Amino acid sequence: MTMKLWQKIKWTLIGLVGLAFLLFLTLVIHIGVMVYHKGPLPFEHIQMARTDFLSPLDSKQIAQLKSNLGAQKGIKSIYLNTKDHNVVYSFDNRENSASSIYQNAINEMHIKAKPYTVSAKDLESGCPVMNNHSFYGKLTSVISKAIN
Amino acid sequence: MKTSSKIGLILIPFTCILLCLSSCHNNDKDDMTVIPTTPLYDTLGWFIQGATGQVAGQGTKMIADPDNDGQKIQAGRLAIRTVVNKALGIIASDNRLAVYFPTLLAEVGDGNTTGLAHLLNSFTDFVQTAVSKQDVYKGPDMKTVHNHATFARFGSADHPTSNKQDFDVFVGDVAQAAQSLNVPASVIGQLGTLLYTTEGDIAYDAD
Ligand code: HEM
Ligand code: HEM
Repeated sequence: MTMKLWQKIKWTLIGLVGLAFLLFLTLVIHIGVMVYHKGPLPFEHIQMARTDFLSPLDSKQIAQLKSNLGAQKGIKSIYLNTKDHNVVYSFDNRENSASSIYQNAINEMHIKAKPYTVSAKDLESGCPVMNNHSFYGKLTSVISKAIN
Repeated sequence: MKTSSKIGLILIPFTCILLCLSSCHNNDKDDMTVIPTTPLYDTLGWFIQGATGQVAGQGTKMIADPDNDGQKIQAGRLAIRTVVNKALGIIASDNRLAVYFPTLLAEVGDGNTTGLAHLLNSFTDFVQTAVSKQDVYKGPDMKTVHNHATFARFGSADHPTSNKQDFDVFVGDVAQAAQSLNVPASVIGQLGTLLYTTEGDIAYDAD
């Protein structure tokens, strides 16, 4: 009697562990198939930020803004929109951050300006795999490094 | 049940998955050798390489990727990506469109992959697929993507879908980006025609 119960527990455990293993394997292989032959993304760390001006800039201010932005570390491109009065710039997010660029290049010009921010709620939506700090994100990058 | 049949229960699916995986790899390699292409794709590849010499065969020609060290890229794809990259900056600055693109202007932690990188890649995939007839875009269809209810990164609860006017502005921004890069007008015209084929799926009020 106790022997039979033992056997049952043993096989249930083996079954459960086996199932968990299979599911994990499926996940790993699934991610593997998705990332196979995908090199690093171009522009992987290039981030975009925007600042809105409350009134139009004159040509002197525009020149100043462009040279200030251009002097920031990691800056890649500057696009000035004179219709909607804003500037969009892109930068390498390993070398600089949107807020520090705003502080050093725009805020110090003392013009009325507002950095464009995205609400935390909008930020939450998205794939967990694309967040490099989540478990799935880490698993994906480990697998990607292993097979590519 | 005998032990051996239980082991079999685990081994059989395992083998199936492995077989499936190895067959996928073979397909990938076959795809690489046969590359069909189109005159528009060749023209784009020819343009990005400085617009000299013959046009035929320039689209799928592999050249060094100026923005990704040590990687190679099809010249036609590089042309498309260059235009899309410029266009995304213009779109992010456009008050009418920025509301739909929260992830594009979202702050991410240092070293994290950015929304720009993802959208640049998938949008380039899509246009490359449409222009060159190569099957590189793997994402959901355009109707699914351009609705907040079915694709979280599109818009927000306040702006769940886009309309015809948004669509015109969007294509206008792409055209402006191409013009600023001196893409020939006839090529821009053909790209525009191609983009407008998606209007029915993207603008909810399209006729
Ligand atoms: C490399 C493989 C993968 C790629 C390229 C990928 C890509 C994507 C994309 C493009 C989205 C849409 C994002 C959005 O709607 O905002 C998404 C959403 C999602 N993915 Fe993935 N994914 C991958 C693997 C995975 C894995 C392995 C899991 C979980 C184990 C996962 C879980 C999810 C979930 C839960 C969402 C919905 C998030 C939401 O809409 O809020 N993905 N994925
Ligand atoms: C010209 C025609 C258009 C084409 C060919 C197109 C194509 C695409 C593609 C391929 C994606 C990426 C899907 C993925 O990640 O798998 C995408 C995403 C998106 N599109 Fe479009 N699109 C067009 C017009 C528009 C318009 C008019 C709007 C808004 C008014 C718009 C807003 C968006 C947004 C918000 C996303 C998601 C961005 C993100 O992932 O962060 N698109 N589109």
